[in-house]
Amino acid sequence: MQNKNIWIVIGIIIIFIITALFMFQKPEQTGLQHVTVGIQTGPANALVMVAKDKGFFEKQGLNVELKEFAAGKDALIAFLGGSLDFSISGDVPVTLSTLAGNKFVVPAQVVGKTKNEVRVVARNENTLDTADKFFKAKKRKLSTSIGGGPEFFTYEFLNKLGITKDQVEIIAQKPGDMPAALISGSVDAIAIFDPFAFIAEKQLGDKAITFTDESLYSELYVIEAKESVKQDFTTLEKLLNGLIEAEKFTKDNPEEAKIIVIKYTKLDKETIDGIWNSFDFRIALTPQLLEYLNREAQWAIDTAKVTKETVIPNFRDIIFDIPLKKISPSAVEI
Amino acid sequence: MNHILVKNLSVNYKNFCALKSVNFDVNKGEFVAIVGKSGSGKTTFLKALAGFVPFLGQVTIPKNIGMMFQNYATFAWLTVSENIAFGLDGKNSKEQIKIIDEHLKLAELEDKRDKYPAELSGGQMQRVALARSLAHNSEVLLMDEPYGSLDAYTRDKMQQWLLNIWTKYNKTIVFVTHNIEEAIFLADRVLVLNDQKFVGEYKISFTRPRNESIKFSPEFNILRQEIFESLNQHLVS
Amino acid sequence: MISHSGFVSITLFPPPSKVFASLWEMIISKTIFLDLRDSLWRLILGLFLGSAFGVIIGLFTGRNKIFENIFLPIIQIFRPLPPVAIIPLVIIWFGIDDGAKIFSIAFAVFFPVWLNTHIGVGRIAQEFLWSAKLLTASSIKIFHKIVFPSAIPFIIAGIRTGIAVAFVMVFVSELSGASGGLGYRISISSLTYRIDEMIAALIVLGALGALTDQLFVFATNKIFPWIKFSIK
Repeated sequence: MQNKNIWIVIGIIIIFIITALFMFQKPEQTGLQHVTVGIQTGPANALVMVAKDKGFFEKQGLNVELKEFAAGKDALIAFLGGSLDFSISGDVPVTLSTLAGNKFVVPAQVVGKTKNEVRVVARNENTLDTADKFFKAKKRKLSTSIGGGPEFFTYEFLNKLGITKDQVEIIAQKPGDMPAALISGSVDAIAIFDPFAFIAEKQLGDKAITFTDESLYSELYVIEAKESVKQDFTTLEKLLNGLIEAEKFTKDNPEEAKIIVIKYTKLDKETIDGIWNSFDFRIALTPQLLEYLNREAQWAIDTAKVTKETVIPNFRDIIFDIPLKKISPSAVEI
Repeated sequence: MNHILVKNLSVNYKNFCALKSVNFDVNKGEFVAIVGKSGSGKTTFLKALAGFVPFLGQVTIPKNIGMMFQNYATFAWLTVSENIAFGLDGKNSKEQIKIIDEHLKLAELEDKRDKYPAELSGGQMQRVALARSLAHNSEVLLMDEPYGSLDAYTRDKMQQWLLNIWTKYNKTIVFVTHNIEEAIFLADRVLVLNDQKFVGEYKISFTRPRNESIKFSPEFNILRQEIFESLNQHLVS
Repeated sequence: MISHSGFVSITLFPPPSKVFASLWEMIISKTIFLDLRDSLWRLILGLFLGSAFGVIIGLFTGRNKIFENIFLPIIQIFRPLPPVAIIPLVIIWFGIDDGAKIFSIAFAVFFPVWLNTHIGVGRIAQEFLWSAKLLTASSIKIFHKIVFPSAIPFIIAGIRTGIAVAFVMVFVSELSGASGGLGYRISISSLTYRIDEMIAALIVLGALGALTDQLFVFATNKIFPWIKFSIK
């Protein structure tokens, strides 16, 4: 019996040693500065994927480690929690987290603008060929992603149509679950960004109808950085330089850029081709960003996402344009 | 006339032989005790009589048997009266109530009718088990060390109570125990089971009704000694 | 105190005062009651269905070799699957309506209840069965009055585990598409950076879980008064 106990103890010690070896493996010393960037693995982050894949970050002396999340807002939460150096998310999470009192800066957008990137895909009911007819025909179930651009778009979209809260049931869903919900008929419509909107359209074919409104809102994607970059933005500058080189490359080599995006996102060529032109892949700071942030802040107050006492901050203060102005002055349009 | 008759009974489990070709008989109304050490085959013998284990040989026994165990004597989720009523299939509710009341009185547990077994003492639980078999009108009672886990004082009381019941109802009882004193005190005959065989049979001629004082008599001690030696005899076969 | 010290971010670690203020706000606006109503009825139905199937199938597989041979391989294949992993399939097959959520909850609850029932009826002391067989010829009576009751402590343990699982699943299933419910509330609070609201809803969910378990224990002690003696 004692022999058996000794062997058990030896076995446990061996397991501990092996586990420790794996856990405390030293990272490769490459001589590059290591930074972590959290992104949603979606086509909107094409420039980040291209820069990483083509070595543009390494050219700047950065070893960029991409951490993938199901949504940009999850990346932002991880960034706020201190686990990342930078994150990239849509503009709505920026508004909401700023209103909640979180401190960070936005040094650039990774898309200049998008076109109909967020749209409503609904089950085709033939005669109901406009959004107005569709949503006023009966109470609908509309699924959207809460806390992001799609929710804001949904609010503005329904408001413009004059649809009130009791005329539609808003379901909160993860973007990835939405196409299946629409296809199975559990919801009547989904309001979501690409590629999920495209996937739903493709899967349903004529059974789907899409409602868009370019004038309302189309999501922008921004970089978030710690406030400390205001004192020292050397690393940030290198990151932006890498992204700007990726921007040039993507403009000149769109097909190769698409292949890189396919590699990272695992989406098929047809989907990428279908949505590519919705994005203006450009490192910039546009006035539209400020406009959206302010509108979204008002929406957050109107929909009780924040307490009534919340004061809308001056969003211009969180935009840190100095590094981008230094590298590419024409990119700063604010 | 034999109430129970056993001829060449053998019980074999996978790895060993539990009983080797034993013979046994009991008359109607007789109280027979079987003593043996642990592993001698006493419990297996009772299980074979009750038909719970496959066996070779011949067993003739009435169908209506009651069995009492040391542990799991009563059904923990039924009250005392529900336990007693368990074997009363086919009786209408009026009859059942009458029988239950009668046997609660017999077991001296009238004030415990709605209690659960866990609320009773060990001795009380054994009385419920016996009352249940009597209510069912079992002709034969097979008792497997029912008082094994009781303290000496309770055990003595239960022995006396059992003898009173046996005298009143005249049931045929096969009582298994490892306590020689208990066997002599209760039984008409004591059989010794050793190494899966019956190795001795002792007729007990103390008159009835018996009381505790016989345990101090010389005849009792001589019997105890003989049975003890029989039990510890190393059989060379 | 820790929140206010600045040691941690006050937005990510709101102080208890802020959490209770949110909770109060949710009570006044009645959102918490609506959420409770939505979650509770999914939970109760899912728990009931999962437990019922678990007990019934467990009673059969625990006592009958043929049933065991048929059902056990199937159950053992599905049992290790994390219930969370089947949510995408559930969405495809059943959509995101209440029926789908109730199915997900019932699916997850089934396994611990089944296992405990299966073991419970299989472990019945032989002495009970022998005594019963000598007292009655009715195998239905033996099943009803001996086999099933002797397994009750195991079944209760299984259902208590099922209750905990049901609470996890009500939260998980509401993440995949809901417009109300405690899981929904926790999810959208975190998505809109209302950590105070999220914690408040978590407290309500946790309290509800504890209360449900205690109510269950109370009810079982009332229905089966002998249980308190068997659980020492």
